[in-house]
Amino acid sequence: MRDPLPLTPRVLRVRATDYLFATAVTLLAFAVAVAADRYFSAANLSLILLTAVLAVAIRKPMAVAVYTAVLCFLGDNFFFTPPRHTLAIDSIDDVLAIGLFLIVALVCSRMATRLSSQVVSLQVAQRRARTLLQLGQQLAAAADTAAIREVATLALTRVAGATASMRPADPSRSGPSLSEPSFSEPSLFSEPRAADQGGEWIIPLRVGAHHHGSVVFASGVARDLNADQRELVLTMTQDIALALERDRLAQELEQSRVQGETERLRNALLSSVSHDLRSPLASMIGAADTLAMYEAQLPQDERRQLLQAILHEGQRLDRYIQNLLDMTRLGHGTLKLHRDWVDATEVVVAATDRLRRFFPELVLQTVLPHDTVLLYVHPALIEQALFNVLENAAHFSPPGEAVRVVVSVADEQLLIDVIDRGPGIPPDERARIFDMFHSVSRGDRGGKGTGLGLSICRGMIGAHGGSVEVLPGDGVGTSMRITLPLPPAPETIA
Amino acid sequence: MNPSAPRVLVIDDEMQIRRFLDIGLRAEGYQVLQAANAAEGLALAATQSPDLVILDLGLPDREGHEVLAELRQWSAVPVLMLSVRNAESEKVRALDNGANDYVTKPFGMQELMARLRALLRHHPIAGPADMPPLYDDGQLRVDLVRREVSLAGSEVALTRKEYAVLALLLRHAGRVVSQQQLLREVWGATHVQDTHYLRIVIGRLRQKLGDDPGAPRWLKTEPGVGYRFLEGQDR
Repeated sequence: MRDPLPLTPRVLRVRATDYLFATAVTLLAFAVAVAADRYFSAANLSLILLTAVLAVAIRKPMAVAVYTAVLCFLGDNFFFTPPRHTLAIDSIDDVLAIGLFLIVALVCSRMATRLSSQVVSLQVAQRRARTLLQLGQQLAAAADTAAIREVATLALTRVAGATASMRPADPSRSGPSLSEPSFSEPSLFSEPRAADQGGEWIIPLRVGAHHHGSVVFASGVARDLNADQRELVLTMTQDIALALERDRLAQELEQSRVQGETERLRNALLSSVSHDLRSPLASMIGAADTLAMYEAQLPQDERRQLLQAILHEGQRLDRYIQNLLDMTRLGHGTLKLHRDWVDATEVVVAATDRLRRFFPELVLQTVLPHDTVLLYVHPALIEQALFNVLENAAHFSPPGEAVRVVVSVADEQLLIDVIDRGPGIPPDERARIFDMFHSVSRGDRGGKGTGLGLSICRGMIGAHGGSVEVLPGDGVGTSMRITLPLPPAPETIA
Repeated sequence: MNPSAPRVLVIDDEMQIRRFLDIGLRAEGYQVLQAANAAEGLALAATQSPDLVILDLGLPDREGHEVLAELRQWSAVPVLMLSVRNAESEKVRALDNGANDYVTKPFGMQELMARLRALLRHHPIAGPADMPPLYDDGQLRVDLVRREVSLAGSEVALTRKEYAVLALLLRHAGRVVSQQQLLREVWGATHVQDTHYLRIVIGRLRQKLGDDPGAPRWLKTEPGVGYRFLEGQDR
């Protein structure tokens, strides 16, 4: 892992073996030419030597090709062209020969070099593209800032062949002051800045005005890399900066969403407290005050009415407070499920018992399963959830009409249907009634609740993996269904 | 005031609660002692020997559980706790520490008075020895000596566990028995977490006795806490 990726091929460098090869080829050509001397004219022997120049030129760098050309010309001039065994250039033929040798060497060598460098740069580009693609995939898969930094560090370390580290953004430098020159946009052409950082290679990670820290390589790393590798590292840091920016934007979006939600809930809570908690208090204070002032002159019947009002409003207030407490527990995630085995019937009976106490006039019909159906739930929460649905039904049930509670088992699920004959819920509101403070949001029409009850019900049932929904029904009244998953039957006893 | 009327000690720091309990209890013919904190309450319990103690679990100077524990070191007086809703574990803990029953704040007078009557009926805390050996309300007849149960004259065949649960509840008739106590005494200490045993046995008992859980005549569930055997006037 310490070696940089080989992006520069060795074939472009001139080495001593290349000259040996050229010399050997030249000698071979001369051997052939000497053997052919007695059968061919001198001009044709030159062609044999030219073949040697050609052979070297397409394989070796230009300097070696020129070296071969000169060698061949000198040999040709000395051995084969008249006057033989002299190096004198005394005819236009000699000039033509040296020119031809050199042209062949230069042209062929140039073409071969270009071809091979094209192949090499294609390989480099492919490797580069693969590296960037891989990095892109890893960055896209990274779930958070820490994961992005880890992926980035690994990839940069592999490409540069030296340990890369991520330096977080300096908080004191955040904001507009970032425009200082040392943190300019990483450019494809920027040279490593080594001078003022103790030799470290520092590449800032910046998108627009947002600084995401920097990538740091140890001193000397920048010098050891070639231009292609440096460029690749810079391109990678740009991708990394973009990934960090994307992550930051996603976080900001989520945060503002949560803040908006919290703000909305707080407003609704305030209006709930002022409206729904104060109305029972107003009734209680008013009734008690009336009693205190006029007790002697009031007929017994009216005194009893006032006392009943104080009692009922007090109970109502207690239920609202319970709902608010439940809501804060649900909202803060402090709700811990203390699961226990409990007979579904017992939970339903506990809720209907409590309802009867608060609505003594209500006609309540209960259909319970014949056998014991065991739930593994937090009993008090399920009871509260069911109570809230029942209370809602009781509020909207017309006098004399029954509220029906039907408990049944289907498909490993417990179904609790609460059916009233009240005004019903329009189809487009059926999902929204479970929103927090829904009844408050439609003004005084609901009037009798904090609008918390059903959303608490959904929260509590949801915490047990169940669901609450409004069934389409038969057009009259409302059918609400609580669905709870049934656990696998526990080991039984003899 | 009738000097032989039962004396009830109320230990609660809320003055308004003490006041209406005082008025209500005296209206029912009890004598009332009041204490605003644990120290005062324990002193009164020691010197005045009340017949019953109403103890709030949230006191300013000491935790209600501690007061209960100290009281139990030297007194077997029936203790009724005042507890807040959603504190089932608190109620169970207090019951296991020797409290005899509880009511949940806010509570109604009717409920409180029914509990007090049940507690005073069986005072001192009844052991199996001084239990009436026979329960008979005309419908249900349980002979604790011969271990026979009959419903409207015809015998009901109960398993050993079913009978043990029924007998235990009957011995504490009118008072709540925590599910831990039931499990410990009927199934043994290793099974106090196996509440599903209890649920199934109670379900079968109800079926065999024809007791409608929606409107129980004998076996009442106290959600999250335990069960109570209902006697005549508490239904």
